[in-house]
Amino acid sequence: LIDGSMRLHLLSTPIQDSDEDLMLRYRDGDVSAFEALYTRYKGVLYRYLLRQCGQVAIAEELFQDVWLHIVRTHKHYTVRAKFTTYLFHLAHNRLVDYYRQQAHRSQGSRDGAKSVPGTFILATPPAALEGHIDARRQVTQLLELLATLPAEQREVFLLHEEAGMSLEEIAAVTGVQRETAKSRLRYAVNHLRRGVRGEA
Amino acid sequence: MNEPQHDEQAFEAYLRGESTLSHLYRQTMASQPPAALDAAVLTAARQAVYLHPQRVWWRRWIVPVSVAAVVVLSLSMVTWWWEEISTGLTDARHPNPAQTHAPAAPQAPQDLQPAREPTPHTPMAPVMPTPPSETRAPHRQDSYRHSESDRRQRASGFAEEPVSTEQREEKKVGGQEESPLPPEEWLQQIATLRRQGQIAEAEASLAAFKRQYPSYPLEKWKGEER
Repeated sequence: LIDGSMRLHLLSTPIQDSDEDLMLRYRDGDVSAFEALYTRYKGVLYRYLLRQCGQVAIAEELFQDVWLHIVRTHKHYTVRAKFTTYLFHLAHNRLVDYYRQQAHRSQGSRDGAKSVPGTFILATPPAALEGHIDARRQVTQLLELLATLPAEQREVFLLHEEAGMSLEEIAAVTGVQRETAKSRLRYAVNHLRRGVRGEA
Repeated sequence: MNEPQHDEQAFEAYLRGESTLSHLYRQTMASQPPAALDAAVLTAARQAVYLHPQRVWWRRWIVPVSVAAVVVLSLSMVTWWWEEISTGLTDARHPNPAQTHAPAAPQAPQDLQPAREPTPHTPMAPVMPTPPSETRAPHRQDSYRHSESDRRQRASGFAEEPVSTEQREEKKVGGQEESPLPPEEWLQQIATLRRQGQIAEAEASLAAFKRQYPSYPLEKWKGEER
């Protein structure tokens, strides 16, 4: 039995529309649905891109590209997968394009040093970050360690942490097998855990 | 416990959400896009809807409904036309005596009536059943002429004398049936012939005119001509 206060609570709690419903409403001309969807995912997507590319200006450009693509194509939207899968698949593709551009640009200026596109090497090596003292420093250290991860490992970690995706969903977004996604996530987690503990 | 086993256990704990790593990472989740970026995206989203508004549901049906209406109308007209033709054919094969023998025309003055010779009965006179393709066209043409004649009568303000079936037959046997000129035009032609000195032709034409339009008030025209 539901008592009066519980019933009142249930009635007063707004029923949250699913992402897919919001997107369908936006397709049918409801701008407020898009605003709700944007508010829901703007931070998640922005951090995913920022952590991936490591530069605020680039992250903002990619962020805008992804949302504008959704806006441009909203009239053709149909529910084929979860909206988060769709959103991060777009972001993943945009990042891949960006990595390719970066690789192409740095081809001529590279002097023998081999680097993986999308991997941003910190000026300060992780070893120098040992001996963290407080939580703030740990957070900073984690972000720096994250930046040292290969792009593929960093991506699966971010999709898991930011978008709350399962391994299956991560595999769908990144276009790999579930076991590959799991393996990448395992490497990322172990690397970060050791780095934060000062074992790296 | 060796390191690989420890890593595996730590990873399993991480997947279950029991890792301090996730807790630590959540403290970094404060970064948000700048307000200007929010405004740019939301403005684009609004423009995409308002500049290209969704079509109202009934507008989607305009084209199909129009096409359906045109098809239905066309079919109705064709059906109606076909029924008219079929009725005409039936009438031609089984003529109704009440229709074929038109009411007697008011008798014109004797001097205006042409001397009519009894025409020999030709073998074509009896109405023979003919294939529909051959009989449709004359019927259509005939009905068109009737309507033209009605229109002219309305325009000139007097009634053309009904022509009996015999007269029609006579015309058909004697030569091809000509559509008569409107009275005013015809009279003008007669006047022109007279002015040109072609009196015989003018008289012949006038006689034909009187046969065609026996009740036309010629006095008025003669007054105007003088």
